[in-house]
Amino acid sequence: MKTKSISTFTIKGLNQERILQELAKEVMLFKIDRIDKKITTFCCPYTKHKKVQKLLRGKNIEIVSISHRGFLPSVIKLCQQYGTIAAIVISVILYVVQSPFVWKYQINGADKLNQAAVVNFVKQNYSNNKHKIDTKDIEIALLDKFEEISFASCIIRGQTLVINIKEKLLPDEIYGQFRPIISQKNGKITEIELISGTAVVKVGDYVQKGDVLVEPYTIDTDGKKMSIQADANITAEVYNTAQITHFEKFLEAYKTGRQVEQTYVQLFGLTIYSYKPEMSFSIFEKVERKTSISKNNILPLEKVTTTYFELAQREVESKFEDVKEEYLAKSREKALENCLQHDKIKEEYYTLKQISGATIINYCVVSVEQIGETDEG
Amino acid sequence: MFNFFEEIKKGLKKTDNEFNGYNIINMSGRLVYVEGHRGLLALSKELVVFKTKHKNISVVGKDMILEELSENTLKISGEIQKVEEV
Repeated sequence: MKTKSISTFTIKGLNQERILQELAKEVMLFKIDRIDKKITTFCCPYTKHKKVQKLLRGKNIEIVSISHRGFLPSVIKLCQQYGTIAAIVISVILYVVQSPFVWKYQINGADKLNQAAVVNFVKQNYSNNKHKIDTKDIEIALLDKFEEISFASCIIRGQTLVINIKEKLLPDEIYGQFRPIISQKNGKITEIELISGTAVVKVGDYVQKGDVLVEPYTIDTDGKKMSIQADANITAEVYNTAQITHFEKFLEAYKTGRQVEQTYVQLFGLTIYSYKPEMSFSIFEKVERKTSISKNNILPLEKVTTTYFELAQREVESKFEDVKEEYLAKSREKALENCLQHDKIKEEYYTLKQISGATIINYCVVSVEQIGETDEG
Repeated sequence: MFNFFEEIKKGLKKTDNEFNGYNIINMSGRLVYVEGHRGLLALSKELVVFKTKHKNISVVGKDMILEELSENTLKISGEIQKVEEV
């Protein structure tokens, strides 16, 4: 083994004299041999080979080969080889040592039940050695321990103990989870039918979306606060409003009849063919259609057709009185979009506001609706 | 530090201005050592041309290899036939 560590480069390209001179400014080069007009070999210290590679990059020179010899590259090569072998051996040892054990617990189906409680119970009462775990025992123990569980099954998958649980349908009170009833809309309370809990609003109150209507507790005769599921039917007059504006003069876009169609053929999202006639429309409407060319999944060729319709603008004048009914109908329709129960409309009204060149229509539909809903957190 | 070329110049009582800023040694027609070159112009087994401050120098021979190349020195080995200014 030679002790001097050197790297030998074989390069291919033109104007090599200039490249060699540039390299020689940074790194000492030796054994420069011109094999033929385009190919040259040269050596440099092993410690500088990366610098030489970096300098050659972007110089229109192809590095045909790089070889290293000497003490340092041999040591590094050995380290890499033995390092890989050592890593494999250590991995195998670690795998063999830790494979008989369960390292992870996965609980499926526990929505209300505390997963940590289940995991702790299993960890405390059973070994994590896979060979000592009897999954049937765990299933029976879980059913005995947790009354919320109606069905449990355990399997060991790899190093994970998977516990599938089906919970019993128990009321929320069992879990101590009580949530207030929250208003879903803005409105005026008209009726409260309290089933359980404490109402914090009264008939005639105006409420906003998100306000608490019924709190999940009651106060007993001793003045003690007791948590309970909030339940009530709360009805309110809901104000569904909509606003649209009519302009006496506005620009209307219309199709001129001219159109340009561009076609692409795509494979896996990549365009492999395109036909693109020039499109010079300043205002246009774009319609894209995708159709499958082949009927198999081997080559999912897609044809994409994009059609550009030229648009032009014209000024349109319209008197509000002429289109009043149409605009009122539109604004009513828009207001009704927010209304859930069309059959319980109590009142409808609108206001008109004239400003320079425009009329603003505010339409309001007053509906009677159930607005309370339990907050899902 | 001892410098071979400086010692020769000193012995002949010559100044740096009288030289073109490069030194060449031809050792038995087997090795040429150059210092003060300004860049390689041509390289092949039969011909090596390099720049100096004012002139270009060519080394003609057979089976020549550039043994070493640094920013301002170079060594050429092979069967050296002639070294001349071009």
